[in-house]
Amino acid sequence: MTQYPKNWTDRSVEKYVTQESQQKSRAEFEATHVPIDRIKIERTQIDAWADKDGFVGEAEFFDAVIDSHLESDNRMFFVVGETGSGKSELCQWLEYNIQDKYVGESDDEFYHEPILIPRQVREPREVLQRLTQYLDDTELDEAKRLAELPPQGVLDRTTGDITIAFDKSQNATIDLLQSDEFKEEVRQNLDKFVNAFDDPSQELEFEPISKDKLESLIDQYPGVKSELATDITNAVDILYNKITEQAKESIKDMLFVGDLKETLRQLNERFKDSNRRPVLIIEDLTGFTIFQHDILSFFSDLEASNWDVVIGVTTGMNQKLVQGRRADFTSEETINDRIEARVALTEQTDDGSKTLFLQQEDIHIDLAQKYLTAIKNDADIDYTPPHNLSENELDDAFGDGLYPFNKPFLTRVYENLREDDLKKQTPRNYLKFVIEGLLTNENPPFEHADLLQKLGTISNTLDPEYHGPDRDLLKWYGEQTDDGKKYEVDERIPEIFDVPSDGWAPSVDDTLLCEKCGTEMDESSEGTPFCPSCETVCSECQVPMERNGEYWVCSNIPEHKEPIGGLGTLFKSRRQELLNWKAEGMDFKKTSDLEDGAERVIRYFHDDPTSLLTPPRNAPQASAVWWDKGSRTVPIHVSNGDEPRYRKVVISRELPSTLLLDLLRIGVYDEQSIEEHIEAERVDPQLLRWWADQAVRDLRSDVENDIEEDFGVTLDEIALFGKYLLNVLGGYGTEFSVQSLMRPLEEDEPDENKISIPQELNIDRYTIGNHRETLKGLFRARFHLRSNVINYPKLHRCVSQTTPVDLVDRIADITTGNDGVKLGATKSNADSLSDFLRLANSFNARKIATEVRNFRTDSRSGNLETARTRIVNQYGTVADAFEDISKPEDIDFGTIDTAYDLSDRSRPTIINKVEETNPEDFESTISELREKMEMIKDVTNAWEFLDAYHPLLMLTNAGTSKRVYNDLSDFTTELTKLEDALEQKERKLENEDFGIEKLDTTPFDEAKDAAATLTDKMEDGL
Amino acid sequence: MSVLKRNINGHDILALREFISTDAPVTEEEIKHSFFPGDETNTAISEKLKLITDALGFLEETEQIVEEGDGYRLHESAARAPDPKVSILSGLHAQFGENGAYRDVLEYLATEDKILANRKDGLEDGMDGYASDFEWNPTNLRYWERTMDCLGLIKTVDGDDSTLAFVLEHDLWKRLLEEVCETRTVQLEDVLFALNDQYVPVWTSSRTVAKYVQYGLAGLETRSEIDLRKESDAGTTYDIDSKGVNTIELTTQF
Repeated sequence: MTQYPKNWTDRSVEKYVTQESQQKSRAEFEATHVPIDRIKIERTQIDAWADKDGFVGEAEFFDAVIDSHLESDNRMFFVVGETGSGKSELCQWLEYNIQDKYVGESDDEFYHEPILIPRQVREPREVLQRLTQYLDDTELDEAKRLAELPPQGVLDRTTGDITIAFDKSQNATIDLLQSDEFKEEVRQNLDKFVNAFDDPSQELEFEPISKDKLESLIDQYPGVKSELATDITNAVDILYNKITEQAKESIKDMLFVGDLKETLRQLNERFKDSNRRPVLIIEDLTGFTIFQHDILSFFSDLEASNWDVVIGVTTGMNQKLVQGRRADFTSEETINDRIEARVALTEQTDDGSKTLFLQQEDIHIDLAQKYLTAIKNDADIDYTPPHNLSENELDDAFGDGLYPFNKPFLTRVYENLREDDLKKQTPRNYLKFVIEGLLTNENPPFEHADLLQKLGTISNTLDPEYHGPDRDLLKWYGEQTDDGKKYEVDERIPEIFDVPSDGWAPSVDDTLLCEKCGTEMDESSEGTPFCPSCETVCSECQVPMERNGEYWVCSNIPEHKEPIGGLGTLFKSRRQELLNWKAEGMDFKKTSDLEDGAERVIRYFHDDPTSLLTPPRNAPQASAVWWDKGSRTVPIHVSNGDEPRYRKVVISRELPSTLLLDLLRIGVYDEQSIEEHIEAERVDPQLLRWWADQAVRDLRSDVENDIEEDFGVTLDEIALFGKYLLNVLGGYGTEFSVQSLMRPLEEDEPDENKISIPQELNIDRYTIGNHRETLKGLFRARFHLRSNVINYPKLHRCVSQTTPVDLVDRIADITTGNDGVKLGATKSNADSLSDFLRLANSFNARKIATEVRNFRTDSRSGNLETARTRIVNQYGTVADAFEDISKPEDIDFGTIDTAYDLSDRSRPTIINKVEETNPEDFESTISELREKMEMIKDVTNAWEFLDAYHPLLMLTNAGTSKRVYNDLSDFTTELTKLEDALEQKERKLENEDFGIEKLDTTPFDEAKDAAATLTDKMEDGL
Repeated sequence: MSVLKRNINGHDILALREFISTDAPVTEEEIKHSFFPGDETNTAISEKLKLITDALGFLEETEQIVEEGDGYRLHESAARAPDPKVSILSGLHAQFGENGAYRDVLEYLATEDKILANRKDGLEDGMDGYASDFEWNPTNLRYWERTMDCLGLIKTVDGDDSTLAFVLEHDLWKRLLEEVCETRTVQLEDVLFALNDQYVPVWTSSRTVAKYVQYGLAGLETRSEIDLRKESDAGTTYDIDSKGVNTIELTTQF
């Protein structure tokens, strides 16, 4: 922390800033009073104010208040303003000036007698004392202080008075009012009320129970509603109003202040008798609590009294009181007639309130200067520690009397005064919380100001990249140069705070131009930039727009919105948040405009930024594969040090500020094209391009890495697996090489009707058919440079780094994976990659790979052996039967004919069909059948099996070979039957008793030989 | 055949160059066999092989590859170049006459000090006036545009009025400076003349430094990768982003 010289004391600060106006001496008051010369006329009957353009000064207000004679009717002046806005100051000034006006005049002359009821006078007894000091014989002994009464008695009396307001037949209501819960609530609120008397900052509003609390209590006593509710008013309102009214009456009775109206009437008479007219100055009517009604009633109802009354009320209380009074009258005219004027010291703004007299140019500087001068004069000490500058130099550097502040510092403070997150520009806030807080702290103002937490965001356009030791000092004391490029400060200021500084730091450009017409923006009295040339009319509906938050909203179609003050204001606001985020490490909350800009820039330089095609535009038939998450076409995350929930382009504080501002500008000024921004040199196309390139490169790389990490395979490997699968199923062999993989497949290849998959390999061929274009397209997406150009170096690298077995194992082992990557032959029919790899209703690569993995010789599932046995049984009979035969003439048809002759079986036509088969068809079918069967017997994995299985099925199920194979199969079957017939004949003959001793066995022997021969042949093959 | 008529997209020439660089010598048939996804021996589809033929032709015309008895290999100067993109850029820049068309478009953009251009509306007419010997049309300017994009010279953009932005890729800027800066601190004048002589046009018609060069150098300085300053006795001073400078220092290892 930095030590700095002070020539004041905390005590002198307290004396001038901490005290209320009425606690100061007349001299102290005058030393710090700044004329309240901007008082807004809200309502008036004063003719002299007609030409004041809605505002008067304190002198005119004074003239109006005492513009009355002895017999004038009551005249009321309401002074409305937020707490701390100067009501007390004005009232005190009024009292002094009324007193001064009649100094030196004789007692017999008519004059006005001011009676000031200060804000801190809150007890009814004290109020009465102030009033009755003008009466000689008033006895106040019975007037009590609430705090002196026994609390339990006060509670019992209050709840009792509330209860007896109801009929005893209203049982449920009585039960509620006598319940412990109700009494506890009243007790707590009574405590608060009593304690508030000692704290002038607290409102003296007694509410025995809140409406919400009462409502929840009524729910516990269901009978209350039927006992109290009427057709037009619900039970809650009726009970609440009655409780409040009874409780206040009860308190009033307990305090026993007597008849206030009577006291006022007596006072009136007393003043009239002495040729004086009382001017009752009530600083804050809120403090009158239960007497508010009596006060207003007296001064507005009685025609016979003659008072001038100045009543200070807070903004909210004013409306409440006036409305409340109006409700008591048959006509509003009565109270309105009594209100001479209602003036306001503050005005509501969109984001809080402001004090009107402080709106005068540099009045906040004058105010600070007066207080600082008074404080320093009062302290009357030398600087500790001393400094090297003369008084004149100090005033020259900081401004006359302003040390340790300067004008920019005080303006920044004033413009950013806050209370409870709302703007509240009142003198009290300005002086007490900020000036006092800063003067009494040992650290210099620029170090401590941020810590007070009484200020909003301090606007500054210091370059976020600048981190010199004088950054904070420049932020508070510096001023932007006319060209907007620098922040400058008098070099003596950092010197006196012992901060190394060149007296300046770079600034980002602060010029705001109208986005519609290019006019330089003006700034309203509220500091809001606006275009002097444009109006707030909906550009689409041509109707006036209404103000709502940060936007003008079309009164016709609410979706039509425009930022208040134009895009320039929006840009300025967002820019400040961005600069604070970058330079100060604060959170960036309203990020959508920056995200919009980032998205626009990326889309401008990269037409398909989320695409995972390599290169991005490589082949028309490439599949669509892209990162698709979130509502934006490019997901953007503005980092407050946090991580996005999913892969996004991350905008961090580390990016150059010029780039960040360019992105924001493009996001906010969205009606202008990026080209217009570039042409006008408002943005830097080089930095934008570099950022967009890097953002897209990182996003793609991150998503691809995530795929590999999540699924255990890369997109390239998935592409290779898919293409290899199609190649094998399409009958293009099991070669896993660059050449085989790059071989193109036609649009309908492989035809699912021609895909042959054994039943033991549980892969649905229609699934393959449904996804074949996606798989082919994915290969193109990853390995094609153009339609007819392969990325050979890349394909070569990938193929050399893996094998089909490796691919199958890794895809079969996929367990999880995020969705977000989309894959499809086209964008419109894309699936999530996760579904594509894992779900049964999609391609389900994992299941296919698992099935393929189970189809190995070393697989424990034995699926390969099961399938092989089935196939061998199915086709092996024919293959084995014709093992040594390559053409029809190799078959001994003579023997076959003999066998038929000897058997009882007739010779079928199949024998002739085989005998007459075209020898070439016969030979090719038999040789291919033998070859395929040998392959089936030798396969060691699913790929080889599929490779062999498909042609085997084609051989036996299509074309000429199918006819030949079927004939041979029938022929083989027939010969088996013939053999059976011969064996049957043999057994029959052997068992037959011919009755002849010496038989001629020649026919029998011949049949027997023929049968044996045929059997041999059948066993050894035909 | 003019380089302008070659149907290339940049990625193809880089891949072919890489293949030839690693597998040389390679014959044209081997190249086609490796890069063409169909049956390259089928004469009925020779039209489809034109893309590869064009890419090979481009590499030959820009002196990246040479064909010898046993096949293609990298040109001697290309083999020495540290970076393929810089090498191709240098090869393009060295061409004159028919093969100088690619460089002519860059020269036109620099001379006119353009950052944005539209190949259909503006650039075609501009080139007709600037280099009338060539047959400029949207198709061959499209070939130029996507190849320049791939090499990092421009960026094709999705704009309302423009199809390209003449701002260089970050890496390319660094590679180029690495090539032309003999020491870490050099006179800006020397750098600009070396760039203009060997790689990219630098000057506008009014002999100021073209805006795209200014953007590139200022951008590198924003990223603290170079330092631009004015020193005494350090050659001619040029305006770079409204700042007069005559010295460039490479502050990071490129």
